Amino acid sequence: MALDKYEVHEHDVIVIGAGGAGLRAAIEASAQGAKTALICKSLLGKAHTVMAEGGIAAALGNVWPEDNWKVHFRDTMRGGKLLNNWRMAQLHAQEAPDRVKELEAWGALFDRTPDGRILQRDFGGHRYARLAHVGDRTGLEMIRTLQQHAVHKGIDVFMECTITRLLKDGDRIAGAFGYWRESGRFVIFKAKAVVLATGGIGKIWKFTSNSWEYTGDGVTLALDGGAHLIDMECYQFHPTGMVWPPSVRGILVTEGVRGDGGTLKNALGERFMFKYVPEFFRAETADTEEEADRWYTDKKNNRRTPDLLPRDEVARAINTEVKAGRGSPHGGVFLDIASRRDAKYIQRRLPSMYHQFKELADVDITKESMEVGPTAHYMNGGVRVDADTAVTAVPGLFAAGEIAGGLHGANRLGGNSLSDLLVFGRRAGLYAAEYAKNFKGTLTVDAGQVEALARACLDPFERTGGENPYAIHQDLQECMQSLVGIIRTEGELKKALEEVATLRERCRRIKIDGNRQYNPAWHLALDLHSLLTVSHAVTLAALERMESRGGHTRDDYPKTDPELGKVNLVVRKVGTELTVGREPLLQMPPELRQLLEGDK
Amino acid sequence: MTVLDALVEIQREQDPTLAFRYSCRVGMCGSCAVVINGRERWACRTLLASLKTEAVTVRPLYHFPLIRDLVVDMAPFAAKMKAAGAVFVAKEGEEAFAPIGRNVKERRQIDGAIECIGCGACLSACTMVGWNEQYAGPAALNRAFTLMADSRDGAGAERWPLLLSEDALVRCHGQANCTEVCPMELSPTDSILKLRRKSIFQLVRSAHRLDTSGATVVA
Ligand SMILES: Cc1cc2nc3c(=O)[nH]c(=O)nc-3n(C[C@H](O)[C@H](O)[C@H](O)COP(=O)(O)OP(=O)(O)OC[C@H]3O[C@@H](n4cnc5c(N)ncnc54)[C@H](O)[C@@H]3O)c2cc1C
Ligand code: SF4
Repeated sequence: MALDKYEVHEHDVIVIGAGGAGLRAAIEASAQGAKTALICKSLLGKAHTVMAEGGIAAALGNVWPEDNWKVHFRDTMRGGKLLNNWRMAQLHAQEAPDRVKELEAWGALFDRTPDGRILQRDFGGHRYARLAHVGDRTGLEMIRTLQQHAVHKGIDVFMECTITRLLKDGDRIAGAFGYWRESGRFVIFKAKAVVLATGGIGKIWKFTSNSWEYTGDGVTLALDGGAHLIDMECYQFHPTGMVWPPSVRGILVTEGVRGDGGTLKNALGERFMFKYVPEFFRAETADTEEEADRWYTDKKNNRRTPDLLPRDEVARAINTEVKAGRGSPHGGVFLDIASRRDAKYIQRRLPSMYHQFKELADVDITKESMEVGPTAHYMNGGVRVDADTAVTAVPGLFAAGEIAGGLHGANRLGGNSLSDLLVFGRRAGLYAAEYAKNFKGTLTVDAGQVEALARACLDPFERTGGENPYAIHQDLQECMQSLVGIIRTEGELKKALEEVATLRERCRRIKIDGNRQYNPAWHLALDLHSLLTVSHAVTLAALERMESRGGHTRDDYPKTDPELGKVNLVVRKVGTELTVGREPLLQMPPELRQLLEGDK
Repeated sequence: MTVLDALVEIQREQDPTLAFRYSCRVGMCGSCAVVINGRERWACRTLLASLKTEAVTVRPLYHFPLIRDLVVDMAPFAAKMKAAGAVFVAKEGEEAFAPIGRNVKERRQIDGAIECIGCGACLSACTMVGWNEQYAGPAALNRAFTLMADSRDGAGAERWPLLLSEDALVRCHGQANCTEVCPMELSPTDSILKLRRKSIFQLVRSAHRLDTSGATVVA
């Protein structure tokens, strides 16, 4: 058969992506007895998850015994402006504590309360201190623990291997097609079930906290394979990224700076956040600087500082200040902790931030203000999945982690991603293994299709056109940054759609020099299909949601629209076209609805 | 401008095929370690200006097989971890969650050595790794140290023979090149010394056990 000339592997379950979600899925599938492969495009251990600093949200009740899954559920739904899939929010809140404890049983070591239990820290939007953490390197500990556990379990790992297409047999999943980055040779994975755990899409914007891997591959694999996306318009911009020097623009400045006393100021020295407290949060937010400052030491008798409003609110406020001409020299605002806390305290509480600014920007944050501005951070939406099983619309295809939509609704709370990875990573692995076990038919991979995929991948070497993939990526980032950023309007969104189409045309003229061996220009040329597809999907959905909600803000529709609050926007690929449609939210059972209404 | 920024710019403007690894850009993932002006450093956190030289030379890490340009095969790194048994194995029968306090000696020892980002700089700088491919090297022994200090770990008995083999603890000559280059400011040298100290007790114990069971002692 024609597949003979390719390297072919056969498994029950393959997991694409080796961040927290992928590792946890692979561990579970393998524990269920499925022959499991784990595939990732960077080296094992370098996935985005390693960057997570703040912590993992779980209602352990260690610091506040009042905390339980019901409160966590309520906070998550409220934070998501009720667009969330309620069942995911429920499972997430219920199962997160077990997943955290399990990590410890596998060797992780979280920070401790004085009596030896897992310590929890405060974060925006969580009623109680809820984030289990390891200093400011929670992601590193999580990745190491999961990775060692996975390798120990004998899972087959394929590193620096990029998947470019899912393979199907009729309606069902049959495997995946990709290439080795090192040699450029193609490889075929035959599998009964596939779990997508490839993370997000942040590299479509110019200013982003995300790593180079976030080109939206998994989202595109899913769309091309027949799955659906939801809530793509609700992308999260984190309010505080670095803005200077240009090369580090977008790198995250943790919410912890404000948690530990830092405050936002404009060029006039005003603490401007007091001007931007929305009605929804007014009752629980301080309205004088004195009260806000007292809150840090006396949380019982004072209300929270507006500097710690949810991320969407703060990001919009900064944007408005800059547009009004009250920004910092390099187009951000000031984040000042230097004048508010002593140098020792800052260095002890925020060691990575201290080093980050010292080394990258030559700014001593114990002496000077930081310049910060919004940065693309997290995909709240993503591939639509069934809450309990993580299966997508395609039989045999599962998705978990940042790539999956639903849990976070229109806006994610900090810390709710790491817990998401574990809860739904495990579920995806479990149900993928079960699906594989119950599948009794045979699956065939179409040799003709593989041949065509391989040829398409090699096309850029053969062309005569003069386009450079880096230039196209840069132009896409400029386009998305200026036209599909935090604040959107119909005219700009339509213009973005046109530009994305033009960039797609330019892609046809990309010419790659050199050979296939570890050739980054070629890798990017192939990634561009994903980058353009997800840009298109985000823009389409943003046009359709004619209101402002959570991570999605329309200048031409600044209010929320109750009718649109009843639907998710769903993006599909029909033929070669992307379409967007409205679909009603899942109905929440009354006993859960009551939890939300209990106290506003 | 950092060395990584410079590499990215060269890739964009001059040589689109220039191969190097990076991921997070903020010193968390450990992908971008290379040899800069003769010393192992992370490209993302090294400012060109801080090097104070007109021209800056960049080459791939030593002691790893070269793939292309600045990209090396990191497989030896994982292999060494395995050779030193540097994997957590929960103690049998112990309650799944055993508390380790927050300011106990055990915790302080582990915390001081745990933040390895797997960059490989220490292996590149280690002359003993250069001499002997089999040597487990600083990163793996450092990790083994944190596990040996961890009361929840149950694999000590299997790990000791690996650590006491001729390609592990005894190989280190204490030159501390690893400690000098570690971007996370860990001291694998210190971890190795502490493990050696522990191993003396261990040797005495196992020699005793072997003697009484009548087996021969392997030096
Ligand atoms: C700076 C920063 C700090 C953060 N801090 C926190 C925090 O404190 N708490 C919190 O809850 N969340 C935090 N987040 C968010 C959180 O870290 C991420 O959402 C989460 O780690 C994503 O995990 P994942 O498993 O879905 O994917 P990732 O960890 O991103 O893994 C994706 C995997 O997919 C692979 N992959 C991608 N494309 C392909 C392909 N085509 N073929 C093969 N493999 C592919 C990659 O190689 C990688 O292994 C933070 C994010 C950032 C950027
Ligand atoms: S010990 Fe230090 S130098 Fe060695 S791999 Fe770990 S972080 Fe890198």
